[in-house]
Amino acid sequence: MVVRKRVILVIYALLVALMLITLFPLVWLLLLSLKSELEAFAYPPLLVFKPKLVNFLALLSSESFMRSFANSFIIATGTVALAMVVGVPAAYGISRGTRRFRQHVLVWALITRMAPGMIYIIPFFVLYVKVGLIDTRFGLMLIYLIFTLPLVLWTMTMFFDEVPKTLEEAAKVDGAGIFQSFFRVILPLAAPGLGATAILCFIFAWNEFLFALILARRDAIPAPVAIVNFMAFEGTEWGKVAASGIFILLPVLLFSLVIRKYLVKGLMGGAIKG
Amino acid sequence: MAYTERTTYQLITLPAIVILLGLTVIPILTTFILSFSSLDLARQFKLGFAGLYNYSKLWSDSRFLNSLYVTVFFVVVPVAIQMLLGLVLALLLEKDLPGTGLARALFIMPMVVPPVVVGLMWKVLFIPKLGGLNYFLGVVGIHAPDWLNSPITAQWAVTIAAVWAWTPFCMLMFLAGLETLPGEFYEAAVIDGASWHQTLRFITLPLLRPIATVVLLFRIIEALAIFPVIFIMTGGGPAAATEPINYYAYLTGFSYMEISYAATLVVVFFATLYAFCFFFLRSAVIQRA
Repeated sequence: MVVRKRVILVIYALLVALMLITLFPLVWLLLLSLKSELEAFAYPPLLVFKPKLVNFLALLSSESFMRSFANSFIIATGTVALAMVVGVPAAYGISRGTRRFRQHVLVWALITRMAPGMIYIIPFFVLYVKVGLIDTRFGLMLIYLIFTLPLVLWTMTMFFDEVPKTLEEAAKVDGAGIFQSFFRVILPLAAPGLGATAILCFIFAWNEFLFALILARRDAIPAPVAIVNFMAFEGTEWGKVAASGIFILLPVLLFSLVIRKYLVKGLMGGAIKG
Repeated sequence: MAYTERTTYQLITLPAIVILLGLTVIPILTTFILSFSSLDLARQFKLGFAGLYNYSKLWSDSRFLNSLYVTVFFVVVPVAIQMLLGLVLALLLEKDLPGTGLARALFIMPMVVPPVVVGLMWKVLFIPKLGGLNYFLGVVGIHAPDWLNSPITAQWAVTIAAVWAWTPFCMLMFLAGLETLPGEFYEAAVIDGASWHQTLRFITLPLLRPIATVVLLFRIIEALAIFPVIFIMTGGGPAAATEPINYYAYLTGFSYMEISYAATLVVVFFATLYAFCFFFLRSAVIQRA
């Protein structure tokens, strides 16, 4: 299609405007995290100032915040491990299984993942209180499988689909059984997919809020819930609150850069193929 | 495929299916059962049978009726804006002009921002002196309100945050949809001398309809689940103006500890979700048939 110069200008103008709107909140949060308490409330707002790291340093020396940060890492990593161990072989089975089987399992997994957490949480709360899983990291890892397991099933099935079937047939001719060819031939070939899937799961587990808010109380609280407590107790120290937001955001941004090639596919969650 | 091989493939899928079933279907059924019980953790752990009592309570509970209205508001208004903006962005980015690759990468950034940070960020922005938003609005001559402290502006504040966070998803989906459109239609349109808005109106939009249905479905489901943003920004207030049904259920269950009534609210929530999805899926099926 022929695009005229004036049209191109309009397109760019609109894109730049929308881009500014998209970036403004993030930039503002970053600026706020680098301001002192006085500068934060200056009116008109300060756009040029000498950035300070006091807020970040205060967080680093806050034992409770750092513990919640560690909790987040442990919970997210544990969730990834559980979801991958159970989900990866399953995804292989789905990828090589019949069409009907595949459709049934994947659609159901998608529905499970999409459903709001509120639907599941009440019995978990009652059960966890009864069996002592409340406020434990393992309890959170377990319930996080609700959305990470479907994620693994979807993305890994797509990655296994890309590994040609002829390879397994060759392995079979050479006398390898299904399990041998899975571990020796297929898995190594799907390694980038494994990495991308693991990171995607990590991001989702890291970002989770509702389950953590309800099932963690003190010892097991992850960083997103810690922020809430932080706001409640240090409500006026907005610099610190902003810094804690940046803290939580950073790992996610880093990871999404690492897997940017697969990020889009993962975020769309099979919406198009489904 | 050999029979034994097929069984093996289904067998290695079994553990995942069993675990996922256990983690989802059992809780949903339990919630349903709990909604007919009387379990109030604020008193003591005693499970009694309450019949339809919890359901009859719903209709005289004005806070519940209010939460239904808020739910519908937060599904209809933000999602409509997201879809529209997402479509516009996709159309703008579709032509491969220099720099659009980078623009795409930047525009999807809100998608990975943790919902808690989305809430935090916008709460900061909407606090009059702290956020700078009102200052900049003042510069362009708009006298901005104290957003989070009056019901209607608080609803719009949450709406704005939701639009910021989820428009990129719509954009991404529409872009993917645009890429699959067959080029012949456009060549024919050029030959016939169609203007760009005719092309948009009679070719692009009708062809995007199937993908739009999928996007809409996804967005509705997630809009119903909106929680962290509200929790951080408004806590459901002021005067329950931003308290959708799942937020009300959360407060009932985990602040007031009325587990059974919360379960009832969740069942109603589930029914609402189902109704919305069923309605849209059915109309989508009818479209295709």
